[in-house]
Amino acid sequence: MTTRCTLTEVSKKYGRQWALQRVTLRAASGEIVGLVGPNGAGKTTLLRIAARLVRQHAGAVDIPPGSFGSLRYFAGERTLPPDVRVSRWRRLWSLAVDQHAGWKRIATLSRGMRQRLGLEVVLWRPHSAALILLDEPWEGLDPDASAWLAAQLEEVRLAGGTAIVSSHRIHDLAAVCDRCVFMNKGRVTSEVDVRSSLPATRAAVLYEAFEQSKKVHE
Amino acid sequence: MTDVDARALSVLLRPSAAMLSAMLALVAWAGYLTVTAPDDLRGPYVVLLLCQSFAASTGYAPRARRGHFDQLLAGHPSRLRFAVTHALTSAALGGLSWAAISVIDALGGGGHWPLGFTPKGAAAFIYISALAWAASVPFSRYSAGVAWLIVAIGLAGSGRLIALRNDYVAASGTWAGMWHALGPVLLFPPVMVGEPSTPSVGLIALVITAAAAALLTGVFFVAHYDVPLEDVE
Repeated sequence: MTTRCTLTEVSKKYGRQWALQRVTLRAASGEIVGLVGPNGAGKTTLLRIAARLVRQHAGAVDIPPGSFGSLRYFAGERTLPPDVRVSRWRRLWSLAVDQHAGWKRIATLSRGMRQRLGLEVVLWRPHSAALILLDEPWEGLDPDASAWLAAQLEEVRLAGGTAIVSSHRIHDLAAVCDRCVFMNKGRVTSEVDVRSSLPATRAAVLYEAFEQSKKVHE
Repeated sequence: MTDVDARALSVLLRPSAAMLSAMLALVAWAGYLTVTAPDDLRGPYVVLLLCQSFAASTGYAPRARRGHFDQLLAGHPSRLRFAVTHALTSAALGGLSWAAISVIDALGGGGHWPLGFTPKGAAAFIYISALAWAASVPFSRYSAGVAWLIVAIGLAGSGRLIALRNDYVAASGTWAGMWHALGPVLLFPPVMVGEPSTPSVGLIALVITAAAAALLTGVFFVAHYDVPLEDVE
């Protein structure tokens, strides 16, 4: 498998506080990597550094040049422009116009509908060069939309694309991820490859790893 | 910056209906004046400069903090072209209106060269567009327009606007006179358009330099300052 994204010894601080300390993360093509950690663990900062939206203070981000045009990042429905009409937003990203909600402004949609709209933009037509970074993608989604998201991530995998997904919803991550990286207080505490685990036991394995990771820097 | 990025910025920075109406009204006013007083269209030009200080003031940091530009900026190693496209998109509505009034001025004014396309008119427009855009980069939409309006009202209220105008009119073509006129022009650019006198080439060059400096400052901020997401972990 080709390495699609490598972050090496990345550190970042806000003011005097370290948000990340010497974090290393790799993701290969055809791989879905989960990022798990308590609030304040540094997951969002790590994803934003990978997306080149925030610069690290130390360390290196290596994303092969071919991937830059294919790098897609979504940090949740609150990052969508509220005053833009849904139809205009969908047309902009070449999505089919939704006849039902097209005339509405994004702010007037329900939280789940906004979340799905944002996800549709980044998950549209996945391909082998795609590097998709999702921050808490299950927030606000109902069970049907959650199943849709899982199917979309599977499509990314089948297309040979790469996704790094941060979430607190370990059950959902267990269903889609190949590997989970656990973080706490700005550091990577452990990494679990769930490909070898039985589907029924994956969530339990991840919950146990999560509990262990919380103790590492206490 | 791809075509999608430029189109996305035109959606994200779309002018409000009120601003569109104001610009249309100014163009209509210019059309009316070509019938009633075709030799003097300074009024629409001066008011357009005021409107442009609001229209070009689209703001950057608060929207970036909310993540509205995330999908455009993700993966781009450089934000320079994004910043320049942001500035051009912000100034576009005013630019189109300025060009429309200038065309009306040329067509209705009996063949004279339109004020909007003279060096002093163009310099005033470029300066106010660049300054309004750059000054609003760390702040929200219309912030630069509001700030400049407060300055203008303050100057008018204290009687200093007349003094600035007199300083500009009295300035000679020497270097000393040019520097003397620069202050009034940078503080209140409509004086260049409102007064019939022709400023020196040096003064116009200094105004363009000031516009370039403002633009570069704004571009530098966008390109080099990381705006954290509002609820970043």
